[in-house]
Amino acid sequence: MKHIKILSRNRLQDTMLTGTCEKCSASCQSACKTSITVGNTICYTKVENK
Amino acid sequence: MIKGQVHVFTYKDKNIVLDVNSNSLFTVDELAKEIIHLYPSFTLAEIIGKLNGKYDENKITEAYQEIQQLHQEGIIYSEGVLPEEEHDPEEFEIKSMCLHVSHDCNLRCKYCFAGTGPYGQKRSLMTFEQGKKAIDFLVSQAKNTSHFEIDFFGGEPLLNFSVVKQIVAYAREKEKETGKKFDFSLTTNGVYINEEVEEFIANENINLILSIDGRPEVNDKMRPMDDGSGSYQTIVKNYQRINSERSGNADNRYGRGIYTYYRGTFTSENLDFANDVLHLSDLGFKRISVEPVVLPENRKYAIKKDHLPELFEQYDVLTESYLERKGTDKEFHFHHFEVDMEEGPCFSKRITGCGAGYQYMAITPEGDIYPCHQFVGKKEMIIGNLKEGFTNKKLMNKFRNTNIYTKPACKECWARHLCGGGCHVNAYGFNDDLNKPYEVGCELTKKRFENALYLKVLELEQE
Repeated sequence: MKHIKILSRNRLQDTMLTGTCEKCSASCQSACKTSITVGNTICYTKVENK
Repeated sequence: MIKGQVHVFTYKDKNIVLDVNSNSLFTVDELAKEIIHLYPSFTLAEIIGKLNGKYDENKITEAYQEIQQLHQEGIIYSEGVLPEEEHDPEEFEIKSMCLHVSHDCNLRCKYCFAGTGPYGQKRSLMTFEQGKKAIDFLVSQAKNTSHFEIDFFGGEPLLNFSVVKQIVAYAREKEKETGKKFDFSLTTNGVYINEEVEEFIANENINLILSIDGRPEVNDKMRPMDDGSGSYQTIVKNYQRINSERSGNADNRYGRGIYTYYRGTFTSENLDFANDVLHLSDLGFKRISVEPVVLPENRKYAIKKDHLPELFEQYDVLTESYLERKGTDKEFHFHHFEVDMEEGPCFSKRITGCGAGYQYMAITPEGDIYPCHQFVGKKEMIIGNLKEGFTNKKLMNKFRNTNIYTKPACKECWARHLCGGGCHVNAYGFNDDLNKPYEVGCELTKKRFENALYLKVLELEQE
């Protein structure tokens, strides 16, 4: 492509689960404690399946 | 159906595009940037009509077709679907527990949401018997969960170190008995870290969140000891010793593994908080999280809307410093810049946020159960107690059913899948409504994400 550079190709919609599979950390449990951020937690299911 | 949405912004020399529903990330040239803004609403012929004279028609067609191709591949202007989740309103599986082993503290921090320890109640320490009950309750209510997270919290948890040790030992027995696993973390002000504590946290693989606000004068003004003296000299000595002994993290991001976070708070007194982050980095600390104070606007030290421009500049300073220090011995990681594009959480997690009240709970020394540590002391938010179990499932279901698509302000916000809808306590505290996020917090969050995405672009371009 000449005008667009794809840096990260994802399909977040396809990761939809019926409820969470529990293999992620609680987003407020450690570093923040006052203002959550979900995008920087890790999905361990993805990591384990790699 | 969730309609397609992109967020297009320019940071320094990069035109950055985030596809909100797919979480795909792109950089584009000026022409593609203009077309992306027009793309869903206008046809190619109309776009040529609008941009003719400014760009060559062939180039417009070329860029349009690239966008169209990505649209067809489902990674730009991609649509989404809301999950059709059905939960038994009587069933919950809480996997993370904030254990308030101490409602007392040896510091008198001026912005403390816990009222310097007791959360507006009497100063008290959790007994080992209560801690045992909390572990038993955690395990019994989450039959399908294999992995639990427990944070020792307070007040200052090391005021009750003997009970912390007993609880960990008890949980280790439970691990053998049940096959389930416990990860522990300790949030401490660092004053009582000594050889015995260090040995224990090393042997038990305890993650650490070490509180410090940055420069000595900032820290000591806001975080004095109970006798009024400063805490900086004591804690920095302890933290530097710990820092030299802990190799870092099993994973370089926030999550499981042995991590050590240096966690500070900035207030209206230190709006130049980038200097505090850099001071912590100068001390050799690698994983840093410095957060805005959460106080009502009429309170001293509160962050106000008027402060936002200055705070945005500080995140820009941090972005520059992050890049300058990368690869040097002063390299640091800033919690809010660590957005993961590839291995982040699933859609369900992203729309529901922190999980307070149905995946996460806080337990007080008296055995009361709250949706999260910051709700402690607000009696109307009690969801149960260790004697009777969950007593307010209606409220727990309210938390479970609150998500970014029940919040009018989040529904169309480009950052919604990155932040998860913001902090429930802030929404409740500032707006008396779980579905109405704290506006100043949202503005800070969006700014941090733009900077984080810029850093991610630079990282991915090098791969």
